[in-house]
Formats: sequence, structure tokens, C-alpha cells
Amino acid sequence: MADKISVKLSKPLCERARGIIEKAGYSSLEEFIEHAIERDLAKLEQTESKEDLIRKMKGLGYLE
Amino acid sequence: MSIARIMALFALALFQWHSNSHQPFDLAYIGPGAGFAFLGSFLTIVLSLIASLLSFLIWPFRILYLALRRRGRFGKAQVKKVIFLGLDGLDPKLTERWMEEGKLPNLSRLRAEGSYHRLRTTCPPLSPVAWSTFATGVNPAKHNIFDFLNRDLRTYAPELSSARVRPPTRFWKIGPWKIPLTKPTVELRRKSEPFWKILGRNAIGSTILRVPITFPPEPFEGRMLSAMSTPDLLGTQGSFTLFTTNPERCSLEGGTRILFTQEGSTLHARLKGPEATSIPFRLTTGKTDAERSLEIAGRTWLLRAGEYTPWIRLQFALGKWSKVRGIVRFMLTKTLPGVSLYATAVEIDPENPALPISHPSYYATYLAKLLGSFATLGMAEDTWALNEGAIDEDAFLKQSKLIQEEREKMFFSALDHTRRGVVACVFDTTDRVQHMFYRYLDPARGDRGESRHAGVIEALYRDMDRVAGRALEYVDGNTMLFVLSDHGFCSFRRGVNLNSWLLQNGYLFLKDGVPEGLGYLEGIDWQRTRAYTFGLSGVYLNLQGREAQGIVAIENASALKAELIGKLTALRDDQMGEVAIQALYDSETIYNGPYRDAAPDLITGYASGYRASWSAAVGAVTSLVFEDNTKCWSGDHCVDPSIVPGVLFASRPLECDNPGIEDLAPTVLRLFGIAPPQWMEGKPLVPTA
Repeated sequence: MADKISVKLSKPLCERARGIIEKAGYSSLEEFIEHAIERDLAKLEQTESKEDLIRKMKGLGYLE
Repeated sequence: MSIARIMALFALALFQWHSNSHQPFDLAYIGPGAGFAFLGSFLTIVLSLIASLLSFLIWPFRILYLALRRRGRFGKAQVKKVIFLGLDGLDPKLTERWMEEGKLPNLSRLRAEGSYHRLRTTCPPLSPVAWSTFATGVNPAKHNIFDFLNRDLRTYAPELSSARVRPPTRFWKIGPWKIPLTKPTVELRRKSEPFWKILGRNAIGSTILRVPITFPPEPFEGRMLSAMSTPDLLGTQGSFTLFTTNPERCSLEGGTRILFTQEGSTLHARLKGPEATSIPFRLTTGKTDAERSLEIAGRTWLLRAGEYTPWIRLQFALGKWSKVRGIVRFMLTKTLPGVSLYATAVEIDPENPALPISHPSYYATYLAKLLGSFATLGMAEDTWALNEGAIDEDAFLKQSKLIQEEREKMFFSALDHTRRGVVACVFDTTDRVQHMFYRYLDPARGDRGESRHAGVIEALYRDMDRVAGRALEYVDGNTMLFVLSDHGFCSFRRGVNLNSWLLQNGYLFLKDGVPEGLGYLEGIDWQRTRAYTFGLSGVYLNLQGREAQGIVAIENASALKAELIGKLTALRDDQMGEVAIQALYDSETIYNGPYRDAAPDLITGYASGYRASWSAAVGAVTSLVFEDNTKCWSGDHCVDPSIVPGVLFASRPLECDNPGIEDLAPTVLRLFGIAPPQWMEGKPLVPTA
């Protein structure tokens, strides 16, 4: 279950973000900020081993 | 009054407290087993007592608060209750044919008294994509689910697109033991917001049962049981085990084959659990040749050939203090000569889940206590066991039926207990059985034969019509029923490996000396490769600045896409004299949203009878572009979306010409008097009140 924590952001930054979230297609400011963090994390975080990723897909009916 | 009884009353009180914070929910369960769940830990008992006491004290205030919150809400609503009966993969062509033949009386009644339409599906028409659009009312670039698979842009490793489970990261080592200090994390990768969260914020509760792409469950004001992508205890999407006395070696794709050791007439083996754990068991002879006794975890079960055991609860010890609980069913598949015993994947035990599979977390436990244990795996029907002959058609159908019965119990129990709000439940049996038995509907397949299962799909549709009939009994002036499917079905005769086509046409290269046929994009020379494929519908450019070793400059991407669309549209399968690809779609044209960067660059719309081959789906490069599909998995829907629309029945007339699956979320919001948010793209199918 996704546990949440509160983070304080500057008001002007949030207002700027609020101005574009609808146009960008996000459902909320929270989603926009999470996406921004995820994009950077994807570049920095250690990747899972290929073996682990393949193991997790095992058994999916659509894949051999 | 026994302690167990007292504990059960407190458990009920605690549940009522939480239920009433969402919506009225008339519960009646005070089973003798409920108390035992609380007796496991003294601390749990004390906390339960305190929580129950608090709940009694603040109950009147909460009721008052909720009544005030709801007061305006239901005043604007056109309904008190909405029911979604999802029949995954129910095909409109077959449905219409059997309605005309009078074989589906309840669906025919729904059509006559309410409405029926073919339902536009998503591009691509895959369940994770389509059900995510159902939940959120947006296109895939806004919910981030484009296929079953996505890839790591740094390593090109394909991975599941919908959820990510990460093991604990910090441990405390004491001697030989390793105690996790952090929990495993589970991340839902579907973005945007499902309609049930919006309803919840407006004090309208929902019960969401097994709607795909709900693992892990998100907190909201309502109840949810997760579905597609929920792993088994091994962390896979379902790995069966075949225990056998036959020493012949053979590898299995979807499971593991284990040889029994024999002591006289007794057979021994170990059932594998998570990490390096396993549980020993033994088979002894029964009263007849078709029977055996199974002794496992201190209990004995009578096995009869061709019959499943009930769910057997097992406990795997992970170190000194950590235990993980799972459930498994066994079936004796062969007794003479030799013995074969099939075991389903060891699934997460709903009574004591190792990972979050429901919201609130105790909802799965509640359901298991109330209705009995149930399959929790994302795709629980074991299609690979049938593909690989570990079980036969009868065993597969029995297993599917057992899962359907579990689902029916949950669905109708939720309907019985819900006075207001949404009940949505998806049945997967329709999808899985059509995947495995479509060959009997396809005159072009050579393996139709005279099997007594030739009529199994028609029987299944008739059975689902019965379920729809039961759901219709709950419809009144304040209740609206929708019966829908996410896509239809067609035959899967020939597989297409677009990696092989890209190799033969100079868009993809293998490293020197690498043999063809390696899976998971292994051996590809990324310094020279411009395009590649994996998964069920996408073609990806090896784009500079996106892929780690991308070589296609962004300014050249459009021209390369146009070139591939030009060459691949109407690709011919010369051996069959047929067109294999009906259309290719540029994701920049068909998608709009913040996650479009994660989408494939091109979506392949295969012609009926074709699909990404088994090898292409796992990113292999083979020598053949086309290959026969000879597996039992003979029906599919990973084709052009125009070929496989879903169905939409409603108990009231709808205002629409060409409804799409994205229209359901805004429709249910309008039915409850809530204006759909601007980011939602679907259009309500009902007028404003």
C-alpha cells in the first residue's frame, strides 16, 4: 500500500505547477511532482538485475 | 461465551467502524474462525480491544459526520447503486450470434430493456491497458500502461509495466540470521486517478473486486481486492510444479518439474517456497489405484486422480522470526504407470497476505473468513500448465470453474451488502478459456478434432449469461447495471517476429558471433540498431537521449517511423497468402499525455489470425519472421483494435453512437451527480439529471 508523506514546497513553485497540470494531463499536483521525481530517480537509481526482472515475468500467459 | 466468540465480536465491531467511514455496509459475519485471527498475538488483541472501544465511542459522531457529507451528494445522484460486471474478453461477434440463437436470454433481456453496443477498446486492445482506461477515463499516455511489458531504458531489460516489487533494502544481521528492517515496497505504476477515488472523496463508497491493474491497492474510501500483476510467493506471475516419477528430463516454461524420491511405495518431494525455503511432503498409497494420501505440514489430504484439493495453507519460515504464508492446490494427474502430481503456484494467502492485496489491508482476510480461501494470483488460471501438458483440458476447466465460483461468491456478497455506491467485479474466466480453447471455433486450425470440449466457449458464454441474470436481480429504479468487456477475441494462428523482420531489413543488428533466438533483447548490437520490439504490440526506436545507447537522432525519428509504417503496413505472409499487419499507429498521433515518452513509438495493429510471435514477445531475434502457433493458447486479442471491440450492456438506454471504454468512468461520476474532471477524456453516456 502506498504510504504517503508530506513535503513542503514553495508556494510560487506549486502555483506555477498548478497552472499546467490540467493542460499536461495530470490528475493532480501530487501526480505531477511524483512523475518529476520518478523521471530523475530512473536515471540515478540502481537497476534491478535482468535475471530478477525475467523471473518476475515468468508465468505470464502471454509470454513464453 | 468463548474467547474466540468475544474476539470475533470485536473484529466485527472494528470492521463496522471502518466500513461506516466509507458507506453503509450491512455486515453479518460473526464466524467462529474470526477470533482465531486475533489470538495469534497478544499485542494484536490489546490493540483490537482499544480500537474497538474507541470505535464504539466515536461511532455516533462518525455516522453524523458522514450523513452530513453525504446529504448533498445523493441528492444530485441519478442512482443509489451502480454495478459493473466485467467479463474480460467477451466477444461481441460471438455474443451477438448466441443472442440471436436465443442462447443468452439474460443479456438479450438487458439489450431489449436497456441498451447494447459494441464497446470501442484501447490501442492496443490489451487488458492492462483497457481496464486502466476503464478506471481512469483517459488514454494510455495519461495512465502510463501501454502493454504488459515496459523496458528499463538504461539496460533495455523488459519488465512488467504495471507494478514493481522491491525487496527490503536494510537488514539486521545476527549470527546466521538476517532480519529485514524495512518492508518490501510495492509500487503501482498505473497513474492518473481511478473513478472510485473521486467517488470516495465525495463520500460515495465502492467495492472493487479483481479489476485488473489494482496491485498494489491504492488507499481510497472503499474496499478493493487486487488482481492482474499480483505475484505468487516466488515473485513470479505464476509458477506451477509438476512432481513426477518419470525420470525423463524436459524443461517447462511456466513451471518446474521435480522428480519424486521413492522409499518403498512412499514418494517424497519438497514444495518450493520463497527464497530458499521449501516444505517436505510425501505421498502414500490410497485405497484404490486412483487415490493417494498427501501428508504435508502435519496434515493429511486424500487425493483422487483428476480432483483438486481445497486450498491448502502453508507456512514458509524465512529465517528465525519471519514467516510467509501461502496457499496451494494439488491434483493427482497420473497414477498408473508412475505418478504425477500437479501443484498450482504457491499463491499469497488471503488470510495472512505477505504483500498488500486488498484495501483496507484486512479486507482480503475478511473475505477469506467469510467465503473461504481464494486465488490471489494476478492471472490465476494456469494457462502454461495446459500449454505444456502438466494438466489436461478437464483439469484446466475445473480450475477455471473453481476460480469463477470464488469470484461469484465475492461479487454477490458485495451486492448483498451494498445499499449505496459502486460494486465492480471482473471475471477473468472468459478471457482465459477463450485463449486456450479458441482452436475449437477456428475452422482453419487443424486441431479441432472431436473433443468433447469443442463447445466449451459457448457453454462459458451461457454460464456468464446466468451470472448476468443473477446480477439483473439487483437492478431496480435506483440501481444501474453495466455488463462490459475490455476487448473481444479472434484466432491466433500465426506469430510475427518483427525483430526478425527488422534484422532482415537492416534496422536491427546482432553482435558478431551472437546466435539468433536469445530472449530479452540479448545480443543486439545497440550501436547499429535503429528499431526493436518486445511485448505484444510495440515497436521502439533506439532513440538518442532516451535509450542508453540510442543512435536515432530525434530530428530523424519522424522520418524513420514513416518509413517503418510504409514498409510494415500490409506486410504479407507469403506462405499463407494473407496480410499480417493491418495498420501501424504512431504513438505521437494517437496518444496525448505526460507519460507518452514511455510509450512504444509505433503500435502494431495485427490482422485477425496474427499476433506478435511467442519469441518476439520476449524480445528474441529469430531467423523466421512468421511461425505457426501450435500451442493450446489459440485465441488472442493482441491485434488491431478495430477487430476486437468489447461489449457494453446497460440496464438503461444510453446516449451514444460509438461508446468507448474511456466513457465509463465519467458516466459513473455523472450518475452520482459529480462533474467529471477536465483531464478525463471520456464522455458520459447518460444525460445530466
